[in-house]
Amino acid sequence: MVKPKIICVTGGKGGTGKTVVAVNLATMFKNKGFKVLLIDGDVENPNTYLLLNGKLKNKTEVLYFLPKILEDKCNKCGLCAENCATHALLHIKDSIPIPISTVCSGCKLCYKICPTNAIEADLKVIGWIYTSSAFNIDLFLGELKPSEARSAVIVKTLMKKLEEVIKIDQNKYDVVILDTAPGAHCDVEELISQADLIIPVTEPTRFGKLDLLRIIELINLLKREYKVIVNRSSLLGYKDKFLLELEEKGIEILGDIPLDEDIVSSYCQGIPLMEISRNSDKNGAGYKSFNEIFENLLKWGEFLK
Amino acid sequence: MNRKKIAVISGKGGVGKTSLVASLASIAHKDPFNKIIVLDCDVDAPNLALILPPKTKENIVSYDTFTTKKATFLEEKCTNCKQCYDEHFCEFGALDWDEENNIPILDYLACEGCGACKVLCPEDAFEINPVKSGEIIAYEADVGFPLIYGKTKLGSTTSGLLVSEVKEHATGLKEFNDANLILIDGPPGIGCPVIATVSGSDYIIAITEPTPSGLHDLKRAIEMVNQFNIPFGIVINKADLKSASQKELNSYIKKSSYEVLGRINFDLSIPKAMSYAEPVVDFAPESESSRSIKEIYKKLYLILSLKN
Amino acid sequence: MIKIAIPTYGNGGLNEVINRRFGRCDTFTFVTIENNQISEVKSIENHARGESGGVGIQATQIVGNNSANEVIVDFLGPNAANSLQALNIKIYHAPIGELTVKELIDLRLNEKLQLMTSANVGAHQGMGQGMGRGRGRGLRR
Repeated sequence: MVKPKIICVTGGKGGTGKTVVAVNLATMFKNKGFKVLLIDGDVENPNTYLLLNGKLKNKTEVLYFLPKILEDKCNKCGLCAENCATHALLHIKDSIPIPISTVCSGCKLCYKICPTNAIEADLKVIGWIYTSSAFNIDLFLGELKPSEARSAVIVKTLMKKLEEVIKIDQNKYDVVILDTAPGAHCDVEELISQADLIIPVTEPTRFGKLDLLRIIELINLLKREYKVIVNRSSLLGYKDKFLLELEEKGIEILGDIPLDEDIVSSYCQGIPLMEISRNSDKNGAGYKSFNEIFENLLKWGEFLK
Repeated sequence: MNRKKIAVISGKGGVGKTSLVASLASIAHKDPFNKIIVLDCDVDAPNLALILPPKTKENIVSYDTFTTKKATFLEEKCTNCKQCYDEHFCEFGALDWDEENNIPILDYLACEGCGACKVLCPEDAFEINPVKSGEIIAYEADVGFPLIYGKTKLGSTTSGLLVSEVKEHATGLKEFNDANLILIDGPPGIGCPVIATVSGSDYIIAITEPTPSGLHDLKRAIEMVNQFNIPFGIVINKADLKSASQKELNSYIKKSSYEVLGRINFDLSIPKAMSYAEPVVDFAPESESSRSIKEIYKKLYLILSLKN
Repeated sequence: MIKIAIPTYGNGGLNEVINRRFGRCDTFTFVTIENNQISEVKSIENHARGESGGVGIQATQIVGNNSANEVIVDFLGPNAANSLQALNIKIYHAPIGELTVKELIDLRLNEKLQLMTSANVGAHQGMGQGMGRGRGRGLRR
């Protein structure tokens, strides 16, 4: 393999178990001898490191453009404010425009059109990127600063970092696993569009199905391949009916994972269920399901060629 | 009119916002002194309508919103100067160059409609137009109060603006003047649609669960809410879950003196009620969780003095 | 000299009722006060009211461009509040009730109105939220 294969774990509905799945897939690839990178793209609430009992290191700031008006150069023409699509420059006639940072989109148009070059780039911190490693899995994690709105920028920064790392060493990773936020917002879209294989994780409920169909609509819009994992499949005995409903819609299943106390404990302990050193019960329902899913994934992604 | 807007958020997805909003709405509506309106602002994945469906199919109001703007390229005006690409007009990666045809290529999904290309192009070869960003759907719920939700069109970048449109629609309802309580189901996370949901609310309910990510995400949600100076209370779902995070959650709450509105123990009645598409307080009114939710409502009533 | 802007319904004016939604009002009524008396009343249309974004900022520009140094409002979104504060325009809170511009001006001149300093405002009554609480910390037990 020349370029790492990128798998995106997503789902639409919150709380279906994306992160647990992403972390355990990463672990199983690592167990099999692959070089694995896990990217936590749920930048509003990055949780992967909790499931890996990991420490976050190498904190770097993600900076975003804000206009700064140089008062001695500003001729108060208001051209910047007039052309600002989000009205992020407050301009009263004959006065210096005032940037309203909360609505600034960072398009830099004001900076580019100012006739007197009176605008310079002021940078504000909108979040951070961390790198780390746990259980022999590398981790990139993005974090949005609470009160900031632009998650997609942090996600893009994470993916840019991956690009830079690959440029330096094409063989650094065999597999990259992306964990997304819930929903179908632009930060999720960014990650799906960068991946080769998409794994939506759902649960066998009405809500799970509704959100799954929506995320599949997005995946189809982005022309990507996907196969679904049904998590908590033993919930209320709906599994067979649910799987049938998905089959009828032509939705392919990678596998299902029943409710399993051991999965919950591993999650709270911060050691992945499939981590060898944990000595999980190999006959556990969750354990066996994960193994089956992994076998199917290896085939689907042609990982052993 | 002493109108209170309560928004329910969580940070972490899947901890039970929608379920709680449906039950609180049901209880609040049954009190004859209340006139409520319910909003689902989880515009990227709205689910509340599943549990609170319309009374009839006839009076459903639905319309498209156009809060998103996108650029289009006008080839007939282009002189192939390549300035847009060379001088990096677009900061969002939506402008690439087609070497073969010597014209720019626009990435529709990446475009944020900022208008930079339109303003900077010397030949006026770009224009910006509003495009469909989503839909607003409003109806009278079968239980008898107005419900409004928004749903984004996939690929649109303006979830926050759509949330504002949902709230805006509520103010235009004839029921708005008499309404004393607006209940809002918020999105997961802490980003732009959540900020748009929280902004302007009188009270926030932050739901969590005693797991590592439940607590982690609650802290972040509270940090975000504190930027807005809005009072809030915490609801702990699956409160009796055996987890190492129980201790941590309890000490966090104790140290911070944040208000706990209530604790709801793990109860299979909740997913069962969801599968029957009913609020749990209607599906299983004697269940432990229903009783806990009723206590939560009583507490809210006192805190907010929900009287006309 | 004080010039006060009040968001109003319809064509505005002294007898018009306050519109409690700053950015979405039909008009702004500007009342100039000299020597504690009303010396001029003017109404300007709020052409920003139908826009989908940045309404609070645009509305503030109308207020600022007409040289108001105070406003009397009820609900103010964070954009509007930040913008008004950036222009050092004093923000007074309109009490509950269908109050006309004239009634609000009288309250203001008799110093019966509260100043607002918080970026985010909802209805205040019955919660003891008040102003100047600094960063909200939830309700303390």
